Amino acid sequence: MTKIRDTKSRTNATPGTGNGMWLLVSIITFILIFGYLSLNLKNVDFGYEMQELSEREQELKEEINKLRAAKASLLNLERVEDIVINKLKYQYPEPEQFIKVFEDDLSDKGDKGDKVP
Amino acid sequence: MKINNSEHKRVFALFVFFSLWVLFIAVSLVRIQVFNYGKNVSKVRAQSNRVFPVNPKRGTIYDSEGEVLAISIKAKSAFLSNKNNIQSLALFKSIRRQVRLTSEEKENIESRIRRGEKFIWIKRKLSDKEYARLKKIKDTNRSTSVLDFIEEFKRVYPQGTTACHILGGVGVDEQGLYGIEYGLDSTIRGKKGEARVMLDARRKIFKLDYLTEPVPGKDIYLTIDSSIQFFVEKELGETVEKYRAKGGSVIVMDVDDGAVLAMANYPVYRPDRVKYTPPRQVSNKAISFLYPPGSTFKIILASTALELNKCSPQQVFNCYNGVYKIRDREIVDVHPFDKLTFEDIIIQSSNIGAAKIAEKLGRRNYYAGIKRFGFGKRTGIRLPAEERGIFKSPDRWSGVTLQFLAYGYEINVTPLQMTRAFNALASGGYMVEPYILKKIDGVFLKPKRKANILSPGTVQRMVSIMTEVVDSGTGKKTRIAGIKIAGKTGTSKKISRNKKYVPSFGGFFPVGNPRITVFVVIDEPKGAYYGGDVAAPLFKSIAEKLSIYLRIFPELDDNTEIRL
Repeated sequence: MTKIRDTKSRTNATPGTGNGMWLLVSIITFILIFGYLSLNLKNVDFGYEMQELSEREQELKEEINKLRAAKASLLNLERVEDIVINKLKYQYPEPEQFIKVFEDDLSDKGDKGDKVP
Repeated sequence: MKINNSEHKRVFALFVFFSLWVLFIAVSLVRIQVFNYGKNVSKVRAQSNRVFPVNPKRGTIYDSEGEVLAISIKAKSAFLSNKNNIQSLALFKSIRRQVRLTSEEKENIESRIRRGEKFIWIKRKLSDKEYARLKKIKDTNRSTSVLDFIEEFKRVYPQGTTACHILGGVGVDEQGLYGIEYGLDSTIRGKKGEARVMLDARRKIFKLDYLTEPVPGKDIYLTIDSSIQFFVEKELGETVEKYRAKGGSVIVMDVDDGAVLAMANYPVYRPDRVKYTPPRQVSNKAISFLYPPGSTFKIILASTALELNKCSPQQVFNCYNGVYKIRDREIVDVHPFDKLTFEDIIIQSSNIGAAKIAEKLGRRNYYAGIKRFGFGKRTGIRLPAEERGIFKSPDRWSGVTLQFLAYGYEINVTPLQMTRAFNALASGGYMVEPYILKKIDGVFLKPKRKANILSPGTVQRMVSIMTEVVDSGTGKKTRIAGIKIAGKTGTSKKISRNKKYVPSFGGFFPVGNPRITVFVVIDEPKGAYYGGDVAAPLFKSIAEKLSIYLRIFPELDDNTEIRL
């Protein structure tokens, strides 16, 4: 009898159910760790992406600045005058060459202009 | 499956081993994360976190029409990380040919390499071409010494020399040195920020947090119109060169609100090369040049005399045929007159006549009149280094000060103060404070209040006299067909052994409805030196261009020939 009982208790201690439990715990732990790590990795990925986008944004802003500076340099009046007078051979007009034709033609700047009879 | 005793023992041993291992890990984790938490966190932060200052972008300066006058863009600065002197010298030998450096700078870099300094600037704020050339050298460099770059802001002045004296310039660290860049430095510069970045094992940034957000500098709009500024500078430059003068200044002001449309000085300089320019050339003479105004000051005398009813326009004064002795001094007229009326004294610019008017006016009255026109104090234009002028109080006047003051001596003024005085007559007797800042960060700045200093009757008489100065007096060379101009010439002599003069002309137009006040002053011209010969023609050429640009159309007679 005693022998039979021993055998039974040993049979109950076999890895069967215990292993299943370990396996389950391992899987859950693995999933948790995996989930935690993948979330962290995703977070880091977002960080990289945001960093790249913000760098790109800065680059574009800087590009706009440079273009504005370049535009202003191209419209530099000294340069424009040089082209107009030396290349296109234009001349400064004399004041008498300007004739006011229509009152309505004046922009804001000319509103206070003297009236021509 | 049967497990025998020895197997059971082995499993147990394995279990104990793993348990101890797990326990060891757990204890280590507790030790690392609990007991040594602070120490380890700071270690990790030191390795992966970097805190660095973030320089704000300097504000942009625009003219009144929104044209960019000064802007900051990013540029690379090159430096050498010196690990081996010989290799560094060899590396610099290839670099020095690719960037513009003065021989002094080259020698300085070489001596620093020889001294074994570890960090050496090659050149701050490279041009795009220079950067491209140095980048190639960096990429092919095999030596232990490293050529590398840092990104910095670089101030750019796209209009070249236009408005240089107003803008001033900045130093290598973007700090304002002169002009509006200096005067409004705290507004334009913004505030530095601080950022923390997290780096991965490859030193790549994966997170950036601002500990303190940088505050960008505020954008500034000036009242200056860069087109007017450009042609005024050009005309001024031509006159200064023509008369081989030491320099000159021109101010163009809006009559109604005192907005300065142009403030030109000559010689000019490039604001981006300000640190290589002598300070004398950089100073804004329009607000800092002190000179005796000469006969242009007679308008102050005449206005005060008329305002206080001490004289009438037709009153006759003795002009002593050109020489008037007073104490041990003599007052001389270039063109001698026996007698002149009050208005002819101004039209013909008689010094003796002016002295007689001053005598009639009296010390206290004249002093108060000059003060009312704002002399002896700054205009408050918000440009740095503005002079207040030199004007003594009556208790410090000598026996001849009153007479000398009558024609603009024993007083020193700035061109801007004179512009303001002329503008008072143009604006119907109102003192309008000149201003140059139109808008800061989108907020319009209101011009200061006007103060009435002259009655309409005085203004009307003065304008009529000043129009006559241009039509038939000393200012004939400013006449423009169809556009009425009121003005006054002036020529003052500097206290010097050699004959050095300062001719000037102030005026406004069109007389019917004044819109623009212009003041011109030339410093030490050679050859001709009278205001009517040197300054008046410059005023005319500026007025012609202004009338076209601002659409002030000439009132032409039917007989006037129109050239097309």
